[in-house]
Amino acid sequence: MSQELYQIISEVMSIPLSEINDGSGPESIDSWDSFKGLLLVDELESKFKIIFSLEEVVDVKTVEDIKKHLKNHGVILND
Amino acid sequence: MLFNTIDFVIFFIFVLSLFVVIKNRKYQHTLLLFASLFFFYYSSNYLITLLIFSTILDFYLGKEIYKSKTKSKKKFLLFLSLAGNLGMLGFFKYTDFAIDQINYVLFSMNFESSIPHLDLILPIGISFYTFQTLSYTIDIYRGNLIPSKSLREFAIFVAFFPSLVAGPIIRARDFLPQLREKINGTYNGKLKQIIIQNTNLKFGITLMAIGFFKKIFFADNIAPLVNNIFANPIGFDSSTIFLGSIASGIQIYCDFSGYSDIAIGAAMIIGIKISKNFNNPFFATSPANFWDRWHISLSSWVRDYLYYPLMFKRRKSIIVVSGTLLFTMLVLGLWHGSGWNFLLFGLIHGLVISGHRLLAHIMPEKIKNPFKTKIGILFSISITQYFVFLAWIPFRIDDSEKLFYAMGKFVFLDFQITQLLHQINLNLFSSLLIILFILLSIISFKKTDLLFRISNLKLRYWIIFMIFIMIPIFFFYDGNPEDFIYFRF
Repeated sequence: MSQELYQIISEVMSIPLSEINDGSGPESIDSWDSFKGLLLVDELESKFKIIFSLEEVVDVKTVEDIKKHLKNHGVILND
Repeated sequence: MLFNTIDFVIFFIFVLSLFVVIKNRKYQHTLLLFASLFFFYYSSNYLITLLIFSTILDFYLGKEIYKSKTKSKKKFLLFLSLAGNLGMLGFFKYTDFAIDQINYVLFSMNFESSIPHLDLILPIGISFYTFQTLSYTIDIYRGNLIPSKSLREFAIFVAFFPSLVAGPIIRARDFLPQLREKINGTYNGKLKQIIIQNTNLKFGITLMAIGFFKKIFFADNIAPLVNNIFANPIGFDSSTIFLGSIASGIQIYCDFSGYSDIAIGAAMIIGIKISKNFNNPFFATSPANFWDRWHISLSSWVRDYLYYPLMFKRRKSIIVVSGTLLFTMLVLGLWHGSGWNFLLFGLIHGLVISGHRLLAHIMPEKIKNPFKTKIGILFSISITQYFVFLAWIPFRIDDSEKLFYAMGKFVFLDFQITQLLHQINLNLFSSLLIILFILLSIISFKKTDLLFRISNLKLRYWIIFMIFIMIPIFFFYDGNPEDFIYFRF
């Protein structure tokens, strides 16, 4: 499932899968701008059938943070 | 105290020396706090009371918000924080502007009397530290931050001298943990002392030198060309206006990103990491992408605390998204100053960003696909920068007649190359600096790790680099330093 999350990020940000790890985020991925950030929120919500709160969205700085919030919504990500 | 003065250099060396001598982190923090307050008092005098007011207000409100059990009480306390900070900012920054508008309305209604100006001094750094303390209380309200237990720690966050007067606007959640964390390899169990690390020192000095270089060599030497053209642009052709606008954009960039580099470098030497504030903004490929690269600490603040809260729940509606973008950019424009020109600066960016978002919504594939090629990327950079440089005109000119003339020439083209050549001839050195800046920007864009490479050079090569960069700084430093442009905001 981690790979699934990476795949979604890779597609939204238009970057190779190999460039994504848990430490990746808007600071390290050039194409991760605010617009793409919201697209990613939409993709994750529709993929995992959840709804993120504003507090969760502004809290995200890295992929690790996304995993944390997905876990809070009951989404299990196996490595 | 300006960064580009001997006063600051002496102050910084003195603080660093004491920092090294003090063998206890707690006392080092106290030193940092008093040094920051002195730094502010040195240029702001009694206006330091506003900084102290903001610090105490938000420290205690933050605690109360966290402790409050009910949403309504949390909301009320947050309202007090917003009212206190924005009220103070609004009073000092926008009162005279508001009086002007009221007087204009009174005059148009044939009233003979008018409200006199208060002629308030704009407290240095107020636009930065109020936003900084607001992010603290809002983050606590949102449940994304645990309040600081120590007033000293919180006061360092608010008054931290490298970023106090012109940013970057730092967030408590990034800053406070750095005051508490153990520093690997340098943490002495008994002494609990922060040791200035060689790598941080080298990186910090490199970044500070680059900041001084941008400010003293580029910004201050390009300024005469900008002044020559924009002091009175009436009569100039389009190509000269283009030159003035490009020069103005580069001057503002070198001035402000230079300041940010010095701030980030100085913080790094003390062991505090501050995120970058600029990321090659002149290579932005869309209007929104520009704001992800320009004054990042402000644009991300506005995004997280204004734009997202206004549109997040209704983000499926393109009308809501575009309208909110436009409103947000107007606010961002007005943040820069109390004048119609700054509102126009925000309006241009707002119209372009929301227009681009509308286009991307209406025809997503047509917007995306053609611009993935090299030529497409170059085209999107050019179009984006055209609007960016158009917006620099109201940023620079506040006289409406001159402003609209210059903007008119930027949009309705009328080239008389002889005028351009004459201006280049008059300002040959400034013009050459623009070319040099463009070349260096391309190199820096292509080699993203250039700064790390330089700061990791072997010591002898690093010293050669530093001498190379310091020569023009000393050569052009005339003892009467120019203000940093963002000090006015």
